Amino acid sequence: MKRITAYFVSLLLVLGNLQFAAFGQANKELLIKNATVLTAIHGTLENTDILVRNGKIAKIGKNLSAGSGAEIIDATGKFVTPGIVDCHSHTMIDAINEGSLSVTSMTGTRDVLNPTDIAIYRALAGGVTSANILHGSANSIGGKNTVVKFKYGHPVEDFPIPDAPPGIKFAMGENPKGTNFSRPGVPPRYPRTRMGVIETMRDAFLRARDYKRAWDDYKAGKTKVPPRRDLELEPLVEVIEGKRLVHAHGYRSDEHLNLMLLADEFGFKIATLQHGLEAYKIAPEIAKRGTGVSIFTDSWGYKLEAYDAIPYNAYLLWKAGVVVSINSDSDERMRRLNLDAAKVEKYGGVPEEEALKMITLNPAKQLGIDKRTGSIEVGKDADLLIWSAHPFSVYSRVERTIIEGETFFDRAKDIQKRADLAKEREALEKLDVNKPPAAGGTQPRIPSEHRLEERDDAEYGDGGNQ
Amino acid sequence: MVAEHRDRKELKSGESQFETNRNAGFTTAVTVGRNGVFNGESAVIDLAGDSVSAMIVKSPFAEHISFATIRGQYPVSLLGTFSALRQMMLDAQRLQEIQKLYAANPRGIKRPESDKSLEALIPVINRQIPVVFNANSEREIVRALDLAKEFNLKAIIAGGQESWKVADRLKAQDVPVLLSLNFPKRTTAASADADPEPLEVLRLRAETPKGPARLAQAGVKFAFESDSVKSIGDFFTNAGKAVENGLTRDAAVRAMTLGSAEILGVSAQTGSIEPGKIANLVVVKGDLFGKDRAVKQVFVDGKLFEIKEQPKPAETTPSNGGRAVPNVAGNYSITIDIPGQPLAGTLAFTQQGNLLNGTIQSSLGTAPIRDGKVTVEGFTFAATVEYGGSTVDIIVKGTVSGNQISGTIDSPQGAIPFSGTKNP
Repeated sequence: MKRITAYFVSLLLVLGNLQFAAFGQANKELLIKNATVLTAIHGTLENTDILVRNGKIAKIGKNLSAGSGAEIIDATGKFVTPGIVDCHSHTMIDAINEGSLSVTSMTGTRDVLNPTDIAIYRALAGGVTSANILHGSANSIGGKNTVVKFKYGHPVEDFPIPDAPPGIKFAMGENPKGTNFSRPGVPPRYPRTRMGVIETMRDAFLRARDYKRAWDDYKAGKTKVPPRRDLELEPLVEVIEGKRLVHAHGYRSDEHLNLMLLADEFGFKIATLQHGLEAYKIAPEIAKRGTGVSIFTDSWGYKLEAYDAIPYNAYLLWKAGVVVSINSDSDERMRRLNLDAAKVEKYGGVPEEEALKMITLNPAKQLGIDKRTGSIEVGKDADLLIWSAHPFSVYSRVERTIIEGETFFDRAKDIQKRADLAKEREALEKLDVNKPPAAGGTQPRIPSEHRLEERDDAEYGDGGNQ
Repeated sequence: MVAEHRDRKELKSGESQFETNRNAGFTTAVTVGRNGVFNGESAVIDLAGDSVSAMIVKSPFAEHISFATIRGQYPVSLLGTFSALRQMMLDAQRLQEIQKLYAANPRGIKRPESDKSLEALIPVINRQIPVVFNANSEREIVRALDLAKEFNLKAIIAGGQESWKVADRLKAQDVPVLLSLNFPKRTTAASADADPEPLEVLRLRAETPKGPARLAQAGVKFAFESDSVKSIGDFFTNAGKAVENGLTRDAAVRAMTLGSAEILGVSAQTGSIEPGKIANLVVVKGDLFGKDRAVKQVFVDGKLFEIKEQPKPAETTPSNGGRAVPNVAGNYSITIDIPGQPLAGTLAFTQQGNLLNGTIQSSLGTAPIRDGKVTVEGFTFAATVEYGGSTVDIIVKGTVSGNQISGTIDSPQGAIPFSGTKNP
């Protein structure tokens, strides 16, 4: 009897461990040892350990220990920072612009998320762990956003951050005007001027205000029949009520100021001015309202409205007390946001930790997710990056990208995997279904020098790099 | 966004249009168009009968939805497709609510305006008729399931190429799949200059035949659909591939017969050989899924069709009634008549049988031709060109007569004529 019992018990233990491994990584402990930790809020800690448990930062200190079964990463000589938060991205969506109308607040990027986009993996390799997935800038009022964690490999419902405040995209200047320029065969669309853009927004808010009143009347019993639910106006009512954050693409200081004045009129504040390359001209007005700005560090002159951009923009805004973030608006630039942050140390002398905040804690604040992520503090999500050198060095590479304790990019494993992938390709190409037809067949696409459909050209190429 | 469209109103009577499918052994089908976001309301029909109403087995069957976009008006992008669908569902719910309020007591209420599209959606939101979502990729299927959950719709997935990846969710939400047997196969020619195909494309082609077995294992209800398969014989050959990849023969046969009837809601009438059911029968010699398959007799609604020996059709040249397919190969200098700004261009054609390849070139750039075909009527092809800073998908149709070429270029901006001459 005893022998049988022993066998039974050991079988259970084995099964228990298997289950642990399967659900594994969130439950597993992770101990990063002896790194230089750039916390983005409490300075830099040398020779410091970080203990991760259940997806959260459990302990920060020296000579920490973990339970058995924990993964131990020797980070001697390496640097650890919080995961990068990209405040302006069009990665992982199957459509960027609903360009048929000037106000498309009824649409939302959540409906068109593509969790299999390889750009997500590449962004992870560049250290981005969270992103603000926005509608494009073709319309004065665009669609609703989704704030995501790049949990590549997980089903799509795991990507949106559950408690992130909802947002919406607005756009001003050349992009929304340009969508409406005359083209053969395309019916003319309003607005084609900056004054038309701001009027389109004002009109939308007036309609939203009327819509809110109609519903308030119905709820108070003043009308018998409920008003028609209008998916275009509901998000705008949320904006007026302060429940939905406005991320407003724009370049010129006059149009951004105009928008902030419009928001004053309707009793809300703009959450972020996106791009805002002239924001340094109206820094006090922006600081006064607590509005944030999300910029490119040193992109300039790729459009007429980007002519007055200066690389000291971040410094001047920071000096005035504005929360500044640096974004990518590009699948390609998002892989090197660490270098963009480094630039503001050179242009104006922004202190190192403030520069780091511009790609971590500041965008997290702007997106309302700073309680969760953006800095290395006990209790926050374990969104961590292990760098081979100081993140502001051009020689630095991300070696590990961790989101909520789970590793989503591991450079060493990626390199090992390439041989396996090559073998897999070789085997698949031999199958009949993958062979070209014996005779005829359609012409395959021959790449030209200028590749269409790459996200460098998203949004009419904001940021340059054409 | 025309939900009330009914394809059966456009069915011409006449059994001959179904001859190819009937000769292959099909007795019953659902046919529906592919235009727009709402593809319309479908019916289940038998493939023979003296009149359209005689063919109908069940009407309506379902409302069909595709995640498509509309040219030139909202929704032009997938973003708009979902919000447009959502708004229409809400409007249908509201119409029903107001109709009820009005019927109970019309006083003080403005009478509800009749709207054909919304009226057609009322049985859909009440789960009286199902919604068939055309969805192939994993994320399309998940979007369909999310939408069905949001509005409590009775959903069916059609296509379902990657449905096995979400089998657990399909089972949990009790959503059956009309699984396409149009398995993907490489159709592009080899070229030293082209990029290698992406790994995920290669994987998809290898994995798709394993899908049916995986669905069966997960307990998901499914039936096979033909879904624009190029040759009807491929339907059975691919079913055979599914069997080779783990699906039991019984399950494969069921997926074409009773399983299909159950999903279509006609299993009380047809789908199995039992007394009292509609006499829809097929007599097949040889292995149904094998190369020696020969359909001998087909009974539709009890009417016998004897299938004579069909000569094996040639691989690439379809029958064309004896007239030769013209040879349009060559270089043509053309003028594209864009109003106000005519554009010069070149068409460079090469032709093999009835397949057309080559490029279309203008000052805007050079683009390769896709899906190029030549028939006795003329040529057609598709291409993607750059215009006004954006990419435009065009469909070109035309004819060649002697040294003259002419036709139209169809794009979201409309149809533009072109003409030209062949270069010596």
